[in-house]
Amino acid sequence: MLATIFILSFLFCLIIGVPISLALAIPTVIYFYWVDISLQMIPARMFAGLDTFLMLAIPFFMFAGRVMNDAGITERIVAFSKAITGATRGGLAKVNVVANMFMAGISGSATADAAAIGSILIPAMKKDGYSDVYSVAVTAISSIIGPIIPPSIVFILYGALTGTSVIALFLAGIVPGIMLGLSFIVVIHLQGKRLNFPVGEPTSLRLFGKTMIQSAFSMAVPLVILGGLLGGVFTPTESGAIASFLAMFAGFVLYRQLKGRHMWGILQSSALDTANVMILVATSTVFSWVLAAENIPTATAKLLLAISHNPYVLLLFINVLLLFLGTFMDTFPAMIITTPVLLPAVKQLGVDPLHFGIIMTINLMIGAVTPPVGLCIYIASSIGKTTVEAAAWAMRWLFLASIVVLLAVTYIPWFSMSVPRLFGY
Amino acid sequence: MSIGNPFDVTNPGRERSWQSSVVHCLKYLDNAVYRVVELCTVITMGLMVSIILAQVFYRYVIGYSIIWSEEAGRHLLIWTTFLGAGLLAKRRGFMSITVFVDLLPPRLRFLADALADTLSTMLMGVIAFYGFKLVQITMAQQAIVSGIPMGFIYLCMPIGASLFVFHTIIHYIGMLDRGKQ
Repeated sequence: MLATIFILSFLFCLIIGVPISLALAIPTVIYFYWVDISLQMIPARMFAGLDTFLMLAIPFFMFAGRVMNDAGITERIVAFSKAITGATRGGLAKVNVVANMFMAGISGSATADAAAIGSILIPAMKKDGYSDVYSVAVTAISSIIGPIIPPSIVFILYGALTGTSVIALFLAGIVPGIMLGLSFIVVIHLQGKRLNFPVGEPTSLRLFGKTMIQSAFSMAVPLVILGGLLGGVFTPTESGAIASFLAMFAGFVLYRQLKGRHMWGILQSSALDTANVMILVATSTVFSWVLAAENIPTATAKLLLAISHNPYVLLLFINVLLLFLGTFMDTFPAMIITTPVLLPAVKQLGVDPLHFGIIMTINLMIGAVTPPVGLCIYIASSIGKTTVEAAAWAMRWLFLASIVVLLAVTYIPWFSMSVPRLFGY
Repeated sequence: MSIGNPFDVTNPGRERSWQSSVVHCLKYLDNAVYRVVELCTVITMGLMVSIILAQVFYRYVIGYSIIWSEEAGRHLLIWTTFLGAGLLAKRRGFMSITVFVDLLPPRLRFLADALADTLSTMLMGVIAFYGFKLVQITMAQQAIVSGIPMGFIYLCMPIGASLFVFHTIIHYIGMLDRGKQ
């Protein structure tokens, strides 16, 4: 009874458009009042939810992402990507994917990548003869690689929510991230023949070498971060601070594109991004405390297992559920709300939480490019000045490729588990 | 965003009713508070990055570990979060699901928004009130490393929640004022 009221009031708040972070806390007020627990517990638990060192990694990677956009790193990565795939049919479209794969190794956020690469490559693709909508579509879908190739804010959040090792998650994301990138390139190549995409500028070994040296520093960042984490030189949180430092170093010293006057805007917008996610983390701590007190995760596990005891069927069901949720909810809230509820059921079936984290991240990132609510496609289509619907339709084959990769990663654990196992996780 | 000085009597614009002057003053206050809090979050965010970088630098380059840096980073994160929540209230920048209310006709849409904001404001009121009680209790406790009374760390919660209430109420006063004109 009380549990029903709790869930229904939460859904009601969501539907009428209460900010998700506050919609998580409103039913807990009703609950605490009802069972006569002091309401002081609400701010106390919110505080406790934020007071962990790992959470600090999230603002650092958000800050690093913002710095990179102003630091001139993106231009150099795009130039190097052009030297790799630019000369083929559909060259610039492939450059978009490759640049996103490289950017993914520095930034941890899809929206930062979509904004950074989109503002350079969408105008360039249009000039080269691609349609507006296709330029937007490629930019949006390739940006989802960002949080899957390490480092990744989404993985840090999942690690903090479930106690899974963030380093293991980072390692597990490498292969699926590369798979996504390659599958997009294959689709673009096949479409290129049929739709007669323009052939990009020719490349040369000299150009390749020159652009590689210019972007070498940015390429080294993911190696420094992963190496430092694996070698125990620094913690995931400190790796975020290191990424921020390297980005600032590149911007201020190496490329000299970043100026002191940029810092106000960078700090202000990363503080706002941080607050938006962290408030969600704070209130979800109280929310999931009530869920646990009412045994809702166990009940959900029973319900899910009643559907099927077959892990294949259940994972398919969960994937469809999450894809549906992802169409109208942003990645972070969707992950924060569903993880504590779904994980117990998934664990009972013997699915590794590490593997599940990768499935969930890819799934919810696909949700970030599907309208009505998809931050990445919104950002890309506002840069390319197209409607979201038209861009989504132009994206259909690329979208299908991402679904194929999602299913492959879901059903063949080897893709995500092999690299972490290699390093003993 | 910027609106002129409300006390500027030389303003050659049309005559204002006293209600509208009050609204004008409130909006001025609203912007002023926002600017101050924005500066605070920029400082806390900047300090957070600098302190953790210093932590790594000291440990590996100087060979000496700062003991208070981790705690300071955590507490600055909490301050950034709650002050930022106040800023987000003014910018109406929280993540929320709007696909359902977008389907409503304008009048119903306004009612749904008003209801959502009323509920949010009430919640923030609860957090401000009980957060303040918590501050009073925890003034006696001290942070483990720095020894700062924990109440000062908890203080960001009533402040941030009050900022939310403040900005939301002024948003609605401004809307009512516009509706009248």
